[in-house]
Parts: sequence; structure tokens; C-alpha cells
Amino acid sequence: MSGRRATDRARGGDRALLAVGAVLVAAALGLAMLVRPVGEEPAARASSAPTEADLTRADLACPPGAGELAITSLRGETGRVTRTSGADEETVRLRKPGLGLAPAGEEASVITARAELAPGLLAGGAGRVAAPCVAPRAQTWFTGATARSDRPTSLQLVNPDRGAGFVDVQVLTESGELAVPGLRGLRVPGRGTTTVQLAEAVPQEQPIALGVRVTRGRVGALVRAAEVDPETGRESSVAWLAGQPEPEAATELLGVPEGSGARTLVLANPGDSETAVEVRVATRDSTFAPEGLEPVRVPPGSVRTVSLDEVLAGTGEERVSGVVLSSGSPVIAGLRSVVDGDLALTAPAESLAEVSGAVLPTGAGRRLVVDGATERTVVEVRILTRRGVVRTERLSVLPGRATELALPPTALAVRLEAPTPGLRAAVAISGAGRDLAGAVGLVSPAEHTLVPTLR
Amino acid sequence: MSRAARVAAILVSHDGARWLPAVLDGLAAQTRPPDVLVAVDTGSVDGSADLVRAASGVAHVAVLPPETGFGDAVRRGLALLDGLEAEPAEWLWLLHDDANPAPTALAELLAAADTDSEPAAGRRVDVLGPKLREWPSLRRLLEVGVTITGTGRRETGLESGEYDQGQHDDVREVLAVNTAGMLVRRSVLDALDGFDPQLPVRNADLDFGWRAAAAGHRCLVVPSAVVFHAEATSRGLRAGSATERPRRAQRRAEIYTQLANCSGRSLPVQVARFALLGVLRAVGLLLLRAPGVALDELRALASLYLQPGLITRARRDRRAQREAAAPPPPAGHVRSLLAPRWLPYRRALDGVADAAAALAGHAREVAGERRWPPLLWAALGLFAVAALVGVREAFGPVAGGALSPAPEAAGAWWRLYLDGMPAEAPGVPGPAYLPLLALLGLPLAGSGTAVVSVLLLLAIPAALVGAWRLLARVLERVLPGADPGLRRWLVAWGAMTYALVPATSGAWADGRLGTVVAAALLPWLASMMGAATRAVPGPDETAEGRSRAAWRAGALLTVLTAFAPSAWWLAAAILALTLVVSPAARRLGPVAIALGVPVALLMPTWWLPHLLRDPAGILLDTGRPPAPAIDGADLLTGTVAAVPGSAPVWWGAALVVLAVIALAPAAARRAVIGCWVVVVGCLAGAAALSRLDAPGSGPGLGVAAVVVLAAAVAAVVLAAAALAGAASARTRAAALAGLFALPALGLGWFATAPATLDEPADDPDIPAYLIQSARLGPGHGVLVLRGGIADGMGYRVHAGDGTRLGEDEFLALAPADPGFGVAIRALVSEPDPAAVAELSARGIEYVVLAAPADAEVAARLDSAPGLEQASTQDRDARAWKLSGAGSPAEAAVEGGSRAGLVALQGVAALVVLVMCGPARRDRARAATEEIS
Repeated sequence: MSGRRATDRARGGDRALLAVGAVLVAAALGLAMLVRPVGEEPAARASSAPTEADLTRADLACPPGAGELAITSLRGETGRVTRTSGADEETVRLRKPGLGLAPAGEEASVITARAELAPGLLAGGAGRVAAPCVAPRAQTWFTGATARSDRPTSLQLVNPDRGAGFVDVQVLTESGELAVPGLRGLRVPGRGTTTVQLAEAVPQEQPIALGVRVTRGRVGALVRAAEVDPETGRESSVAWLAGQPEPEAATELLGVPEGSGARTLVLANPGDSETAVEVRVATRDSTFAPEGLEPVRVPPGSVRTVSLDEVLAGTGEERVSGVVLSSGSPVIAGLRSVVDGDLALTAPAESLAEVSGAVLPTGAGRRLVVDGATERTVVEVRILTRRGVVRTERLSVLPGRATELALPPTALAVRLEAPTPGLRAAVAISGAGRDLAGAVGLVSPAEHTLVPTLR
Repeated sequence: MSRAARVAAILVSHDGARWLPAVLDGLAAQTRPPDVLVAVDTGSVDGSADLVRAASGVAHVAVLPPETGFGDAVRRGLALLDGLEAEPAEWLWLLHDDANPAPTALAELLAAADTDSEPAAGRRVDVLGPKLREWPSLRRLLEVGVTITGTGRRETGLESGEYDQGQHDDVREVLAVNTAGMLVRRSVLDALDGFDPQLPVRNADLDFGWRAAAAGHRCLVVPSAVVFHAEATSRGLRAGSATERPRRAQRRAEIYTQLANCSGRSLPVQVARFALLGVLRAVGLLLLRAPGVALDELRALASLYLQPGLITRARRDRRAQREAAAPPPPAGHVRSLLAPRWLPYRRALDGVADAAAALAGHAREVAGERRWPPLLWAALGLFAVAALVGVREAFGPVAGGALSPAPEAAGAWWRLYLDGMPAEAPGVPGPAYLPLLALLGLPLAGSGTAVVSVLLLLAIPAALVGAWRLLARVLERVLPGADPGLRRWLVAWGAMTYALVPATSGAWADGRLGTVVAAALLPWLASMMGAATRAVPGPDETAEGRSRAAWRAGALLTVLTAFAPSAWWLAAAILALTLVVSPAARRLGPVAIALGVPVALLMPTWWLPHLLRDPAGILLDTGRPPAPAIDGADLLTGTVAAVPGSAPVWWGAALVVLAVIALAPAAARRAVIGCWVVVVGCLAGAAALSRLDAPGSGPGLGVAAVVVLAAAVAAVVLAAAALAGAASARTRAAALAGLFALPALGLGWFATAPATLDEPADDPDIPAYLIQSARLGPGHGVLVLRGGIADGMGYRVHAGDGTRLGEDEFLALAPADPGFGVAIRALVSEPDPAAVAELSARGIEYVVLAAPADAEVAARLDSAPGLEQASTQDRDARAWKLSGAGSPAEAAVEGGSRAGLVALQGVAALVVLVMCGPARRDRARAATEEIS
């Protein structure tokens, strides 16, 4: 009897222990849930997108021999900028409404602006030849150049910094990419200029396209092209070609000079596959594909030229404002015109930000051409003259057609402000009278810099 | 010598009533008795003086105060003799109350003096001594002449307890003979001014012999003359000992003798040697828990070194005595009588060899108990081979995951510990494991990489052995009736499974050194804690043994906490819960010791500085950030880091589920509940810790995951042992096979995993020449930028040797330097001279944009004023030199060494070690028993 009671008690004790065990297991599970994850999850990183900040330093590489340089701040700021040419350094004062003038000099020069003058800094030749200053870029493409000795073309590389810059130049021809060892690893000394005469470096009769890639440092690249009078052997006409930062699948060559003469569209395909480029023309009334002009097939790594003489002549009354290109893969394009003996090189107009502008060469027959609107857009055009007088015009840009505005002869620079980005604009200069034919694309100078997120 | 040469004898007694009657009988029985005998008693309280007075033949007895030394007693005896006789006797025979001369002793001594062979050289024999044999046994040799070693030790040239078989029976010239039975020419004793009063008892003979030899006198030992000596003083056999601290007097006498007599040339060496030796011996004695003896050692040293005048005077006296002597002894004569220089070292070597032999014997004894079945041997062998494959990476420098490369020299850890990183992390105390790594470097030839390798290599075996011992003891306590064969298999399973936890948890492959070390030591800590609280049978079940176990647990918990700072808090939580749950086992003392020791040891250099500066710092996990997130589920599945080589989640989960099932068998339920109490305590601690705001990657919970799995393994072993009794042999085998699948799988994953700790020691993003340049010191830092504008950029600074093991914890707690970030942001957006100067001021000399370099950032840096392009091997990377950099901008940084605090910690560590060690008292007791 007592033995059984003892067994019962033992069983009861066992059961109580089992209950304790169950409570402990439950407590363990509960406490485990109370543990807050400790440590770092890789996903829990903050946003890595860069932030924007106002530019505090801007450098522009300017071509030599352009007579006079006009420097402007699109923000209308006044103050001092420096112009450096080799060892020479001078201060240029920008007065109201943000405009200054300096001699261009016989050497390429660098305009440097700091602090509030840096955002929206713009400069260019204000002489007879259209000669824009360019910002150093990692890559620039040029078409429309040739290496023919009767059309002397040179590549000018300008280094605004103290340290040396290094540049690789890629050469595309009609028969594909040309290996030019001499153009690999080109050294541009600090604060110096390296000039490459293409006739010497690339003995090629064919039209070529150049891809300038900066491998070290910062370098601004410019191409100077000239026509030589076969009789006198002297340069009869000079033009500066603005480059294209990257190949584009849809672009527009704006600012086709008026007048009669040879017009050659040069297309280059730096990609890996052949592409077909559809060519249309834009007029004040519409944009259309000219009859008889088939899409141009451009093999990879090659250059093709198309004569637009007939196409542009065939438009009759309608003045052609631009040539609209669209292709399956990005291409580089340029229009080489020789109008009344003047050489004009038209590069694709860049897709503009809200604010853009250009410094203009002298001339009477200058008109601003704006295109690329997707809906009716009213833009504000501010015209600066040598005396600083500002005139503001409003322009309504309609989709599918180029809008033009004749500029007064005193205009030195234009500033265009659009409510939305994405327009393209250029100033075409007709070669009437003393003036030289040409085109200057409007650009949106950098106003901001991207600050990477630091981790 | 003529027969007529007179011999006067002086008997010095002090509480020697036990031996005196025999001594007096011996004197009376001399075949050639001394011509006159006087006695001097130094204040005996046992009636010695009366015994002497009553003896026949004693001409006079003088009684002196008890503190009188031997030399003074002899002097008094001489005065007595001078009062008795007009002309002093030629020879003087000195006798102790515990030295009984054989009947022919004096006759043999005089005969030897007579037949001396070298009087022609003008060097008479002036001192003679008998062969001393042990009193009670009568056959053991005590001394046949003595000399002194370089360390001041008395050297007899005899083996301990050597029997007298006539093997030392040649008459030889020696440095000295014992005063017990010494026959000395009276003129020589007078010329040397007797025995030095600074040596009241001990070494008076050695010092006298040395002085005599230096003055050109010869000392012979005459083995045919025998005196039986009780060595009453040195063995502490006298009723009222003359000296209260015999060891101190002995050591003082040894040092004094050497310093007073050694050559002038060797004096500086000897002075330094005794100082060093004294400190070393004191430390060693402290480690043996004999602080009293250690103090004796130091006080003996101090009593002489604080009174340099004593030695100077003694040396001056000795010089005078040497100069007065004629003729001088031949060159090198004294040296030839001293003990060879190598002797002390041979003695030390003998001691080490004896200890090793004892250890080996013990090991053989232990091994003898292990009669394991071949299958178990095979399983262990397989485990060892697979584990070796798994840890193969550690056979060389390792780095990767949370493990920064180790510094090449372990000494770097000392410097880091003492000085911290004042430039990068001013005031940050740094991790507590630094001194431990540095200490480990000592036996590894100072190689820092070897220390890390050894830790990683030994972690699994240490965990295996520790878990084995713990589980075996726990099973023995909980289920004493279980089948021993099965018990062994279960213990093996548990030990192997637990030993793999560092690997299966991913801690090993992720380089989480702290967790790995903690896992290796955890079972040892549990054993000690168990022994201290009587939860687990310990090796020594006495109260003292348990107290020692508590101290050892405290020491182990200190190491664990140094490597994994959460360990202390988890231990506190577990112990607190145990005390609450099990009132029967409330033993606060051991718990207080175990938890208090880490606090005391880590307080000066780690806890206190953290508490003063940033209390949360004491929770910072060790290792290079970022630490992978550990949540409750990870803790319950024993996951520390999901890396190659770690087991899938279900491996640990299976163990925990088995531990739940382990509650079923009633026989082991109480013990299994104990395991669950540990799990709950640990999880409660972890939950609390995880909710504290700790800097960096937060408190490291890896050790909690290890504790959970350890408890689960123990629970499974207990339940399986309880169940097995009822199961058939076949069921048992099947169940065992099923259980062993777990460690087999764990081993498989571990052994076949790709290498994860193969990160090169040098940053691969940095060109080799910049790594060299950075080693030049401060001012040569390299700023490494990674990424681009679109996706954000990361930066790190490589300075000196790069971030090495031990520095991560400093850097994690370093105060934020917003100016640095601003400067770098400026550098990669719009570099200006101010940003460059800012970086230069922070010791940056080069900027590296790691491959693939962002072209835009590269262009920005190229345009930066003050940055010059530098070369890189990698075409896709970029480097710049900051112009004007290269000079340390802030060479002098505030914040001195904290040697004082570290010394305090060292003393505390020494005390703890002494408490952990075996008590010397035991040995002293054993030695006494052997003698009596």
C-alpha cells in the first residue's frame, strides 16, 4: 500500500517535472522571439543615389585665333574669371548682365570660373568664325573631318589641369576602324595643348570619324577644319567642329547654312552591328522624308557619306532648318557644307536642359533655330549684345517643325530658357556678304555636379 | 705535526638536549680526546647547559643570550680557553650539540694534518673537516666537504640520500668544511677574524672556507674521520628555533656569501643576477601559492640590497685579510674549488626532467584507463582526419570574414594594448583579448599569424576534449548505473557533435575568432563551474578543490569574456536563473567568485575605461565588422554566420528538437531540465543584450548560439543514456548510428567547404609600392575609394600595416570624424586645395581609386589641385599622390601609455592564477611527512 503511494508520488513528481520542462521549452521559444536581430543586414544600406550640388569650378577649352572670345554666365552672375594660355594668365571681368570679352590669342586657351560663376559658364569665339569653347569630356566624337592634305584638319587637345592628360583616339573610316598606333596614349602636358595634324597622323583620303577618349586627366577636344584654295595654296575658309559627346540613335543636325553648294552628310557607326539611318528634313512647316532618299546602311565601325545636295536643293521654296536622323543603334553624324566657298560644319544639336545658350560669331544673317518640342512650348530667348543690352523674345515652338528667330546684327550671345528640357537649338549663319557661313549649336553648360553617396 | 700538538675543543649548544648526551658520550669516547674542552650555550631552554655542565671533561661552560650567533659563540669559547691556558692550543676543534663524532674522528683529523703532502709549497693545511653522515640512519652521507654555486647555493656534490659505501673516501682539498667537527689552526682562525657575525648560523662555514682559500690556506676533507650530524637547525627540529624565518636567513646568507667573496669583476653580474633571480623565484613561489616563502625571498634580497654598506664593508675586510696573507694562493686556485658555473642550470634542468617524468607517469596512468573499442578509435580517427581537412586553411596566415590579418609580430598586440590607437581612436580601450594573444605569441616565437593559426587549429580539439570530460562526469553523476560501453559511445557522440559547433555554426569559416575561442573553452568553464557548485563531480571534492574550481571558472570566464564580451552577461543570466530555479543548489560563494574574477581582471583596462567613456562599448562584439545579423531563430539553430562550411539551419534545429524530446525519459529528466534552464537563461540574457544599444555591429550573440547547442547536446546525451537501458542491442545500435549521422554530416560540410579565410594579408586594391610606403608610419596613409558616382562610393584608409587583428574594435569605437567625410566628399565631387589639405592633415599621402575606376571620378581627381598622378599596376585602377604629403602632420598625439593600469591588471591576474593553482601547503605537508 505504502509502496504504491510512493510510486504514485514519484509519478506525480515526474509529471510536475515534465510540466516544468514544457514551461522551459515554451519560455525558450518565447525569449527567442524577443531577441532583436543584432548585426548588419547588407540590404539595410541607405540610398546610394548621388546628390546634386552647384558646380564650384568650371573650365572651358577655347580655340585659338578666333579673334575675340565672349564669356558669359547664363545665370547672369558677374565677377572675374581667368583665361590661361600656356604660361600666360589673365583675369577677365564679367559685367552685367554676366558678359565679358577677351582676346582669343594665337594659342588655345582655358577659361576657368570659380564659385558662383562656375555654373552656366559659356564661352566662344565672337569673331567671324563660329568657334565654341568646349568643356573637358571623357569622350568626344567628331565626324566630317578629313585627313586630306587639301582640306587640312587638326585635332586640338587642351588640358586645363596641372597634371598631364592622356588620350586615345579611335579612327573610323569607310573601310572600318583604322589602327593608328600614334594616336594611342597621346600625352597632353599639364596646362598645355597637343595638336594632331590628321593629314600627317592618318594619311587617308576618305572621310573619317574620330573618337577621342580621355584615359587620364581632363582634356577638351576641338577639331579645326579648313579649305585650301588650290590656286593660292592658302586656307580659304576655316571652321571649328563641335564634337558629339556620345553616339545617338535619334538626333538632329540643326543650323544648315543657307545658300548653294555641296552638302555632305557624314555618318559613322561606332557600334558592333550594322545600322540603317533614316534621314528626314525639318522645315518651318514640317518634318518629312525626302523622296528618293533611302535609309543609309552603315556597317559597324565604318563611315558613310551621303550627298544631300539634291535633297536640300529639291525642297524648293522651303528653307531647310535641320536634318533629322534616326537609326536602330546610336550613330555619330555631321554635315559638311561648302556654301559659296565657305566651309561650314554642322554637328548634331544637343538635347538641352532648361537653360542653354551660345556665343555667336559676327554676322547679319543669323537665325536661331529651335526644334524637338513634343508639345507647344513657349521659350524665352534673351539676346545679349556687346554693350550688355538685353532683349528678350518669346518664341512658341511647335512639335514636328523647326521654329526660327532672326537675330539682330548686334547679338553677341543668346540664352534660351525652356520650361522643359529636351529641345534642340542652333544658330545658323548664312554666308552672305562679308560673313562666313556656319552654325553654332546651343549648349547647356553644366550647372551642377553629382556628389556620390559615401559609405 | 708533532704528537704534542695541543687541541682545544669548543662545543656550541642551543636547545640540543635531544642529542647532547650522545654527543658528550662521543666526545668522551675519542681515541685521541681534545686536551681541553669548553662549552658555550646560547640560551637553551631545554636544559642543554645543565647537561653540558654535568658532563665530565668540560672545563668551563659559558651561557650566552639566545640570539647569539655561531661566530660569537666561538669567540666566547676562545676567550674561555684563553682564560684557562696561558698558551693557546695550536688546533681548535669545533663541535655542535647535534654532531656526534665517531671515536676516531679527532685522531684521523690530526693524522691527516700530520701527513699533509704539500707543505713544501709553503701552504700548510690549516682547516680539516670530517665526513658528515646523517644522524638517525648513520649510513647516509650528508657532506664530504662543501662548496658554493654561482647562485649562492650550498653544493655538496652528493646525490640526495646517497649511502656511504666508501665512494668518497679520498682526502681532498675542498673550499670549505662544515663547522660541525671542523679542526682549524688557531692562528688561522685568529688571522681571519673568526666567523663573520653577519652569518650567525648558516653559511658561516662556507664563508670562512672561501676566505681561508682566498688567503692561501688549505682546507682538507678527511673522510676517515666521521661525524654524525642531525642538521637540527636546517630541518627546524630544535624546540625553540634560533631563527624564526629559516628560509629568509638561509637565502640572505647565500646572497651575502656570494656577494662578499666573489671577485670584483663578477660582482656587478652577481648583483644583477641575484636581483633577477629573486624576483623570478618570488613570482614562481607566488604561483605555487607560497606567498610567505616568496616574501622571504624578496625580504632576504631587500635586507642586503637596501644596505649596500654591509657588503662593501665585508668585501673590504676580506681584501685586507687576503693582503695580509702570505704566500698568496696560486691563480685560479679558489675558482677551482668553487662549483662549476653550469651547475645551477643542470639542477634546474633536473627539476624540469623530474616534473616531465611525473607528468608522463600520470598520463600513462590516465591512458591506462582507456580501453576503447576499435570502432570508437576508428570514429575518433575519422573525426580527426576530417577535422584536419576542414581546418587546413589555418596551417598558414589566415584572414577573411570577420578576421583581419594578424600582425606579423605578436609584440604589436602589446604595443596596441599599452598605447591603444591614440591617433585613430583616442581614449578607446580596445579589445580585452589583446594581452592574451600577445602572451600566446611568447611560446610561438612572437609570430602573430601563428597565434591565430594555433587558436583556430586547437579550437575543435579543445572543444572535443573539454566536452568529453564534462559529459563523462555528468553521466557518471546523473546515471551511475548506465552501461559503461554505451556511456562511452554517447560521450563520444556528444563531444564530437559539440566540437563541431564552431564549424557548423559558421563561426570558424567566417573568422569569428571570439566565438571560436569561446566555444573551445565553454565545456571547460562548465566543468569548473559544475565542480565549484557541486553540480558535476570535480577532480578534487574537498572544499579547497571546489574553491580552486570556482577561481578557475572565473579565470576561464575572463578569457571567454575577453574574446566574446557577451559571455559574462550570458553567464550572469544563466547563473542567476539557476539560483532562482534550484534553491537546493544555492551556492553563492562560487558564483560570486566566478562572476567577480572577470570583473576584477577586466576592470582596470577594459570595463572601467569603457564605463567612463562609452558604457555601450563593453558590449561591442569582437572581430571585423560588419557582423551578420543574428536573431532568435539563429540562436535556436546554432547559426552564427551563413558561410560555406556552416551547416544548414536544420542541423542545429534537429539537435534542439532532440533536446525537447529528451525531456521524455523520466530517469534523466531532472538533469535535462537543468540543460533547459541553461538554454532559457542564455536566451533571456541574449534577448536583453539584443535590446541594448551597442555600437558597431551590436553585442555578439554568437556565443549564445553556441551555449544553446551545447546544452542541447548535453540533454540529448543524458536522455539517450537513460533510455538505452531499456532498449535492445539492435535498437541501441540503430539509434547511435542515427545520432552519429549528425556529426558526420557536419564534418562533411566543414571538410568539403571552399576556403573562406584566404584573404591576402595585403589589400589587393592598393599597389604594392603604396603598401610599402604606408609601412613607413604616420603620414603615409592611403585613402582607398571604391565604386562610382551612380552607385555611391565607399572609402577606407590604409595606414601602417593596414587594419590588423585587434584594431577593428578600436576603429569601431573611434569617434566619428565628420570633417574627414566632408573632405572625401569634396574630393570626389569638386576637389579643392582645402579638401586635399584636410586629407593630408589626417595622414593621407596617396589616394587610390580601386579598379574599375569610375572615369568621371578619376577625371575629377585628375583635375584636383594638389593631387599628382601616381602609377598603378592595374590599368583599371588610378592613384594619386597628395602633393606636400608624406610628413606626419600630427606626430605627437595625446594619450600616454597605460602601463600602470596594465600592471595593476597583471597583479590581479597573478593573484587569480595563484588562487587557481595548487596550494604549496600540500607540498610542504607532504615533504614534512616524508622526513618524519
